[in-house]
Amino acid sequence: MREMEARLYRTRGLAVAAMAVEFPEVNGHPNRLPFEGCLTLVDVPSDRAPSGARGHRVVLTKEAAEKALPSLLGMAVDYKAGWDGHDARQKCGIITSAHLEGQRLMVSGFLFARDFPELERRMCGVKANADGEMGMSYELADAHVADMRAQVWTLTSATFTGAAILLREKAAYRNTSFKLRRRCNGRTAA
Amino acid sequence: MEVMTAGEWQAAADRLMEAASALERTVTRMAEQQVALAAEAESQVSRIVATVETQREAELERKLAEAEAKIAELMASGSAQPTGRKTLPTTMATMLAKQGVVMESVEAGAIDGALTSLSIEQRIAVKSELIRAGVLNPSDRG
Repeated sequence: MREMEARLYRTRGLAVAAMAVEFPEVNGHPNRLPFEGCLTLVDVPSDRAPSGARGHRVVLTKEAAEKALPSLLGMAVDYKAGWDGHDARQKCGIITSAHLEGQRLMVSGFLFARDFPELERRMCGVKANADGEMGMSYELADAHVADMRAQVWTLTSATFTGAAILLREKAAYRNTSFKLRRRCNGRTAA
Repeated sequence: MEVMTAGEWQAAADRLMEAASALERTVTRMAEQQVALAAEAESQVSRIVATVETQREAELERKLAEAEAKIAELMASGSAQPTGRKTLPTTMATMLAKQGVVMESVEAGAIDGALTSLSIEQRIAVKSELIRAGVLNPSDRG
């Protein structure tokens, strides 16, 4: 691990908060499969009530997400058989960078491709690629809710403890995404 | 014995009043802190996962909440009842009744008096049962 940096810069007038842990390059590493995805949306109410929110939809504020970005780095991504939820003990990868692009909280990292060959098979499946059916879901701890009586809970601070790869339709936010950063047929990075 | 003057009584009373006021202020502050802490805890959620709960999970969560409420209810009703009291065997209760001992009003002294007509072995057996049932204190074994 060479460096960890936090930076705020502007791209085409768009403010982007970013944070990354840089790993040394290892060409052709058999167990590192790079991925990227949209973990969640900020300042946007979830489409449905997430688990643990007692039936309330939630809004993660941009400020809370920015503050929580460091907690994302080094956290694991997991998946559950059936691709419909989290299994925190089935950790199949790691998040190495996170940044906000407008209302999208983007993450990238590596999947343990050798240990979990079923991941690549799934991601390279015709349906997954064509429909972009895979998405992501965060796991938060110690989320502070501005007003518990509100119909939509506003989360003003929280700590990211992990993320899951799952079917988009199973995520509380429908507009998340997940994809591999290299072509499915081989070695070329996307 | 030292006699206090009216001025000294007044000073002592003032000091007591001050102490009482300070205590009142402390109690008010503690109550406010408790309210603030409770509000803080209520607005904190330990875990949120951005997946939609399946019907099965929602059902299990509902059942768990019901079970927890039931347990709390049973524990509350259990603690309201007197503890350590068990039921005497019917034969023992009958034998005691014949000796004129009413279970609800039994006293350590009354037991010895009531059991004088029994043999030592029978007295020991009766007392052991009463101790086991929580009616008699082990220190009253005699």
